[in-house]
Amino acid sequence: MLRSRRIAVVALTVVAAIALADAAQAFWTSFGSGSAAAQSSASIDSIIAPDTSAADLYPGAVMSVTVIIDNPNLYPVVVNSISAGSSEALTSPVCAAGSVTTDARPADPTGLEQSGGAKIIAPQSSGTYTLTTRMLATAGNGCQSRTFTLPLTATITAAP
Amino acid sequence: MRATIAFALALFVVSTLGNPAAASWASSASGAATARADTIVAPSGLTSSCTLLLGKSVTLNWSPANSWAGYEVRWGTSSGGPYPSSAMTTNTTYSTPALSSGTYYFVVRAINGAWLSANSNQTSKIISPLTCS
Repeated sequence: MLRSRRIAVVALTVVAAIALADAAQAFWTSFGSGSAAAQSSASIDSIIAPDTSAADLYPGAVMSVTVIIDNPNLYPVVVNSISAGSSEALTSPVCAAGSVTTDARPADPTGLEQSGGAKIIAPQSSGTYTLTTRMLATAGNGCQSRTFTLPLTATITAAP
Repeated sequence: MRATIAFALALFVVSTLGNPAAASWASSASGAATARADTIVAPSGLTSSCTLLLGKSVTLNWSPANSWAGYEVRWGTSSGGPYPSSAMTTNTTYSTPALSSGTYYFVVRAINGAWLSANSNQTSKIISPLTCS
């Protein structure tokens, strides 16, 4: 009698242990299973557009121009750097390449200041940046009354 | 083992969802700025007068052109050019050196580096041993 009871106790203990293990496993399984949903947005490149044009350059002149950089992304960004720009050669009459240049805006990991002082461009908004533009003192006579296009690139990162 | 893997996966999902800023979003921009150049303008209203002190020289006056330009005064003995003699100034007046007898024709043009304007109107003076008119 005592032996059979002992056997029963052991058996019950084993069953209980197995049940608990299964429950734990079930617990872990249910805790660990399921689905996670995360929304991610790929970054979208921006466009640099002319804003105000440096008017009335002459040989040796130094003036300011502004450009608008848009943020088409769903998160705020900062512009970290803007490249130097240089005009292309013009013909009829001839005006040599590089007769007009814009200075680079040196890299700033915290973001370049816009014309109004802010650094962050809000999502789907734009910012205005000021650049220094120069005409060579040796710019040829054929550069008079011309309009110059200065290609630019910029680096952009998510706002901290 | 299965429980351990599941638990680790759950921790990873939670940590990722809770820290989206861990991703670094970088992009670029391209485009252009524009700039325009001025035009150098010819001086106007050139006049001449005789100065008889220290020999016969001619004083020229004209209206200013571009604020950023200097001037080249030119003269010769043929109407319409050529004008082989010249002098530079940043003022809108200039007195020539003493001139020998003859008829002289004067023009002024604006200048900045390689930029040259057209000539101003021409003016002239007749210089003789005793007079200048």
